[in-house]
Parts: sequence; structure tokens; C-alpha cells
Amino acid sequence: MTRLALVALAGGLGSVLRWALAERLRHGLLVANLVGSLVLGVVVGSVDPGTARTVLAVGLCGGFTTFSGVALDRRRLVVNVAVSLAAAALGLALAR
Amino acid sequence: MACIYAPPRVEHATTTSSPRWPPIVAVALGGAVGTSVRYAAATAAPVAIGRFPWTTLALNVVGALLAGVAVGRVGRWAPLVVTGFLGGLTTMSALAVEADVLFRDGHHGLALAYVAASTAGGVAAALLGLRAGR
Repeated sequence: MTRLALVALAGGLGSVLRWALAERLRHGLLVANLVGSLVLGVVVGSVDPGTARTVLAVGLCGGFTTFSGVALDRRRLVVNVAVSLAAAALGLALAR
Repeated sequence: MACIYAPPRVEHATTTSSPRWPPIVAVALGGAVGTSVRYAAATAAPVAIGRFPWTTLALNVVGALLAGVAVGRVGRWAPLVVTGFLGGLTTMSALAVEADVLFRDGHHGLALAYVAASTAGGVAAALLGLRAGR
């Protein structure tokens, strides 16, 4: 129950950060997906399973990044997926 | 088949009316709920390491479908429903890391299939949603 509350809180925070980026930058969602995927790669590669990892991964990174926000435009989705895959790979590599 | 004599929609007239709460509150609330639903789904249907990430795929495709339906319809509720709830329900970071880990662990076919299904499924779902929401 505590874990769900923390995940929800982190998800709300991540969503607000994503919204703030999108309001300020033309490619704000791409930046959010890039940074969020990089951070998640580091988290998955370096933090042991537990509440902290779940809150950071599912809550913060999950709430910060978005799929639905970029899915309405095919080219935009492909670019976002490609950039996120590369960012996550870099994050996983950095965590080793 | 959609009725071609449907009355004109009025959302555009109401879009500019001031929301009851600041957008930041709506985004935070919607994001918290969307993230909670995603967490509940991931807990209810966990995907083992080395297996196809069905749960994330389903959440992302459903989120894309609902985004297609919602865009242009929800007016001043967009910060709560689209940016917050659907943004929090779907995730790009999990998709990227799951695909990379599958690939890294030698499950090349699964990784490629996962990325292809997510991309094609997301585009198809969004188009379907746009059509249904029209």
C-alpha cells in the first residue's frame, strides 16, 4: 500500500516534469523520453529490486516518459522509439 | 458507419473556457492515477525475464487507442485525461529498456518483434481511435 502511494506520487511528479518540458520545448516529449529511458537504463542496471527501484522505474521514469503522447504521428513515434532504445542502451552500459 | 449529418461539435467553443483547477494539478492527478493503473497491471500480470513483455505492449497500445479517441474531444479535460492519465498509463522508458535487455540477453527475435509490435500496434491503435472518436 505504501509502495503504491509512492509509485503514484512519483508518477504524478514525472508527469508534471514531462508536461513542463512539453510546454517549454518544441521537442519536449522527445527530450523526456530520451532522458527517462537513459535514467531507467541506469536504474535497472544498478539498483537492486525493491521499493526504491519500483518507485524510480515504474513511478518516476514511467510517468515521465510517454507512448500515447507520440503515437498519433507515425514518424514521430518511430523517432521516439529509436532514440529511447539508444538512450536506454547507453544507460544500461553506464550502469555496469 | 458514422452519421454524416451529425450536428456540429461545440468543443472548440468550450476549449478556451478556464479550467476549474490549474493544469499542473490536473496533470499530476491524472499522471498519478495512470501510473497506478500501470503499476497494478504490472503487478497483476508480471512478465518473467526473457519473455515477451505483453503487459507493457498492451498498456501502450490501449493508451494510444484512447489517445486517438480523446484528442480533440476532451477539450479542457486534456491536461487530466491526455497529458496526465494516458501519459502516465503508457511508458516509453519501459519499452526501451525491456527491448534492450531482451536483445542484450540474446533474445534478438523477441526484442525485434516487441519493438515492431509496439510501433505498428501503437500507430494502428491511434488511427483506430482517431476514427472512432470522430
